[in-house]
Amino acid sequence: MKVNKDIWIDELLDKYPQSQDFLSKKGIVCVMCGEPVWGTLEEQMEEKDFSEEEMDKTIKELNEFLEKNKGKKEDMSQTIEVTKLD
Amino acid sequence: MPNAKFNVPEPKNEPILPYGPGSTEKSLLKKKIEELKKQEIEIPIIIGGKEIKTGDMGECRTPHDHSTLLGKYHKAGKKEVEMAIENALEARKEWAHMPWQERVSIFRRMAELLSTKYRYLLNAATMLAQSKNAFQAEIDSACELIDFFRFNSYYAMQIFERQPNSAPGMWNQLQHRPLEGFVFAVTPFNFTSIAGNLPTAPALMGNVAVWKPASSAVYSAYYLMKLFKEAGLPDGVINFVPGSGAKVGRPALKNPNLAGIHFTGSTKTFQTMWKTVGKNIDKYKTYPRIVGETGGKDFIFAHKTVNVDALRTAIVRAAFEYQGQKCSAASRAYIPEAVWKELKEPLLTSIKELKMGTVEYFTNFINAVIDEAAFKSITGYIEYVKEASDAEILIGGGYDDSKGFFIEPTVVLTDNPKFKTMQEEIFGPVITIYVYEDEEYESTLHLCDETSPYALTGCIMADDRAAIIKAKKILTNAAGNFYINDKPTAAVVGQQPFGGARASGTNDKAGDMVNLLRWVSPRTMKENFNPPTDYRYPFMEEK
Repeated sequence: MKVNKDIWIDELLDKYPQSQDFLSKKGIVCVMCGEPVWGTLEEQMEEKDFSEEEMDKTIKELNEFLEKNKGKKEDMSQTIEVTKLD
Repeated sequence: MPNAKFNVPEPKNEPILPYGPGSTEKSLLKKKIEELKKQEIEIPIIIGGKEIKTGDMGECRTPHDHSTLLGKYHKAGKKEVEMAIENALEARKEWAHMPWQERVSIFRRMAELLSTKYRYLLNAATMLAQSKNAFQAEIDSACELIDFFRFNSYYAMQIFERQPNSAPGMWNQLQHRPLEGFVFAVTPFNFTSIAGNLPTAPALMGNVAVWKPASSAVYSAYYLMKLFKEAGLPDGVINFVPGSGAKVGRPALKNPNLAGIHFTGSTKTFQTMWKTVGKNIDKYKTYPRIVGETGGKDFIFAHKTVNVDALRTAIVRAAFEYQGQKCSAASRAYIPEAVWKELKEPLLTSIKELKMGTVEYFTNFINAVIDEAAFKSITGYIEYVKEASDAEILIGGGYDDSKGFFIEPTVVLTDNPKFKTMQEEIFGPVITIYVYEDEEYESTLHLCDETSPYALTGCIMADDRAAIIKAKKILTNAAGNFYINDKPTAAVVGQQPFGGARASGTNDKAGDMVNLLRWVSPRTMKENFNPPTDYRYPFMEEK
């Protein structure tokens, strides 16, 4: 298991940035005002009133998601106009 | 021997350098940017003036080109935080007793050094590390921070001047003692000036601080520590402990000597801090002062009598300057139907003109958002809008993180006034517009007041005075900084003291006397020159 519920949110985002989208869909906000929120993953789930069972299930699913997307760089690029320095 | 009543000269705001074509300041700034880019620095923890290296490293990269590494920093943990607190308390023994005018001299020297020698260094560091364009850096890391140092010094004198009345034969005095303990300053990435102000405002009043800068802005914060040192700030007064928020925060917040928190950042983190203080309230030696400026869902509200060009300009600047990452950035707008018909095309045309790219190319108005986490959070909202049935993207909506964290300035139009992006803080270049029927001005003002939990900034734009009066009344508690016919960003120290209430913070107005008063604990002293020698009062006599 890569991630357990004691992991700090900023460490989680550093190591596995793709976790953010996964957790956001579960209603867990990891970033506010452009910065990671303080606390552990467990504390964030507690705030959302997750039961022990729901927490374990979320952690299991998160690990499966990370395993499935291992080594894959999410394509976040689109054709937008960015001026370059000459 | 301070046999004098000292007077701090009344400050003026630092003039903003224009960085026009061929100007000396432009050339010096570009040179400094090149110089910094060529170096890769190692940033230590600084405790009691000593450099501490843990080997647990974080990186400082430019958001607009994440292949550029500016430096690496050592992260503090529990041990270093405890060491910082110990050193701060040791430094307090001298610092709290230093005559106030000597402390003021140090901060006024900081202002002068920043106005001259450090100006281009801090501006270049802020541009590179936080992806601010030259103008945004100039008004932040130079002008606003200089103003904080100068105005706070002046306000401190005014606080100390205020003394109680004294009856004949006695002398009453009020002494403004520094707090008994240390202040934990936690600063955001988006303003180098706030990073500088949060630890120094309490320090000016005689306090000592443990300072955790945002992990994405450690680079410019480190240069601030150099500025403090050169200005003569004694070792240990401000201790620099970059690192993970919770890892640094927890031991600091649970320490019995915690006397205050000076915070700018998210509502959620502020609430976490406050809860931690609440849980430990019986452990502290004194009740900690909690000062925080947090989120916003700042609004632009237009009346049908608005000047449309002024409204267009306010939207473009307030929503998209610094990529919408100012706490005060406009992220929702209420526009009457008749005005929208006139505004829509010119607004979209203006936004199409905005150039986006590196800060080094001075014609760019838009640069990158701060980091990958912020990029994902903002683009998550954009994707949500794309899927929604009650909102559409009028312009923008594109993003690209292949080189830097770029997000197009995005305008969302919704017919649902409670749509997600009308309520939640996005902290990115996204504004949502709700068009209301011209005759529903008053009810829409109520809607604006009730839609979001925040109350930081907002503006009313109208020519009709009765409409302005109505907005001022209905929106009384909707913003701590309320603007009339101006954009809701760019508060100036000494002119528009900044802060909001509700979920936006404690509204202790940074850069104002109100804020400084939070960092002192007054002691009233009465001296009787002729104390009574008989316990009996005259009323007790019958003859």
